[in-house]
Amino acid sequence: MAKTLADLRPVYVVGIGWHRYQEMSSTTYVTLGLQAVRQALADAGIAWEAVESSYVGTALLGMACGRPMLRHLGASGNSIVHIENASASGSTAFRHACIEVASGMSDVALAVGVDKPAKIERGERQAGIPQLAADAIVPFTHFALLTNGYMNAHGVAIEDIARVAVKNHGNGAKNPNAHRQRARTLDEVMSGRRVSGDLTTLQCCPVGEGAAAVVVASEDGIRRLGIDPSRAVRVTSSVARSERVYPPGTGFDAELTRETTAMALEQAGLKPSQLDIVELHDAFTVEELHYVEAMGICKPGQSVHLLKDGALDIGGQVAVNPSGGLIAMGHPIGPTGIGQIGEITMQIRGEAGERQHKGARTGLAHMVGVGAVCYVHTLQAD
Amino acid sequence: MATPLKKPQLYRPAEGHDAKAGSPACLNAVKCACGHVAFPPQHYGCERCGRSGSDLQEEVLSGQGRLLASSTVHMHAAAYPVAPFTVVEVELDHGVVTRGLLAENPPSDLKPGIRVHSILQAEPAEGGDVLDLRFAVIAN
Repeated sequence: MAKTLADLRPVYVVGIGWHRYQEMSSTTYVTLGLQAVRQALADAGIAWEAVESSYVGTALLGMACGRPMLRHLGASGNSIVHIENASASGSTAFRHACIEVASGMSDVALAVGVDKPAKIERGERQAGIPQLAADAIVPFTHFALLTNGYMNAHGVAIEDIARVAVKNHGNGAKNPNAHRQRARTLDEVMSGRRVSGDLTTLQCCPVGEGAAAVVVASEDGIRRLGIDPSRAVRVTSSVARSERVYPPGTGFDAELTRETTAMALEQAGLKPSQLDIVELHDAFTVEELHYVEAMGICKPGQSVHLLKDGALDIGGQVAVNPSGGLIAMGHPIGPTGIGQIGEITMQIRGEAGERQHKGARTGLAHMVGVGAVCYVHTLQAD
Repeated sequence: MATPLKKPQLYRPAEGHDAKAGSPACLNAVKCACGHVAFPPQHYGCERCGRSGSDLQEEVLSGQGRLLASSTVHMHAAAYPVAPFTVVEVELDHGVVTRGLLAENPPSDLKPGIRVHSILQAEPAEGGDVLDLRFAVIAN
């Protein structure tokens, strides 16, 4: 009988770090990555020598980018693995760092996500299956179609959906690591350049670069290295799923999230109502509403009401995307899922400053990636 | 003389019609022994059950369906189609869902639930026009 993460030995997030997410610049990926890793090591209070294994999440940097970066911390000779899983690259790197520590094969592991914008072709294009109009349908159109369907199904106006961006830009404005740090009014969000359907640019995540790093450790590692256990946050579940064939009429986005989240909550022994913090894949505004419903935080069609009432704000019923989400924190790809873990950790530690959601003890990180794949992790105060 | 089809693996003129602009079209799909119908057609294996080979048989879809969602694209990085153009998501026979381009500028009453059908439309290409598939609203 297969085990869950909770069945293995406990694994904790002990260090977090970032290089701010930002517009593409001449900063090298090595600079971006080293800053995030050094910050995470300093946060944990450990030296690089203590890290036994590294997982590098990157979708765009190209083959074997990890050691050319990590060797500058001191060439340790330890395992380096590159992980690509589209938007979920960072989340996947985090999962495997957790699995390695939880399994007992390492006491301390690093998950670092780093990326710079680059043109990349999906592998699927080489599958040799002609498509009707795939060339014309990029992600923002997929989500514009979802938005159109959602608006029609629930009798909701685009302004209601766009409020997700107002909330998330407002959160990003309080986050020094965010790509976009400017609060926006609903008018500003709505009057931006139209991208596809009803989606304007401020309702879509930006294209940028950045890095995020998380160090995970076992209880043995925490003890041996003198890490402050009061700042260690336990990872209570890790679930990874991929898209299946769903009944006709069932959109894969919601169903994949529903299934993955339900499994994670069950493994962690949590109900959706117990979540204090959710960091989810809001590359486009409609996704936040879609996934909040799929996760069971509220019924289908009801999330606009929660949003309007401030229930999804920092200080509301559940803080969704307190970092600013993909829309404002940003989505450099490799770093994104790892940055979510960092934000949740900060919140549970009570160290989120202006973005602090009071009393945060349980958090959920959600990421989806082209494929499609879905990754959900839960973190909880002991 | 018939204009060549851009993607003949995916569609063909409806029976009794020539390959020319405006002709109704039907879609080439595959049906698995398990009952799952898939478009676009492929013979690698059924996504639902994994059967391949002779378990996957050709199935023709009428090209008619129900609009599920639409989006007019305003920004497009490639040369063609030229923005603005409208992408539609359509539910066809056997519950098959596909996405394609709308033939015309979207009518003001384009909303989920209306009936659409498939037609062939001329598209510029090197060496002369080709015919590609478009969805069009069925006029009442």
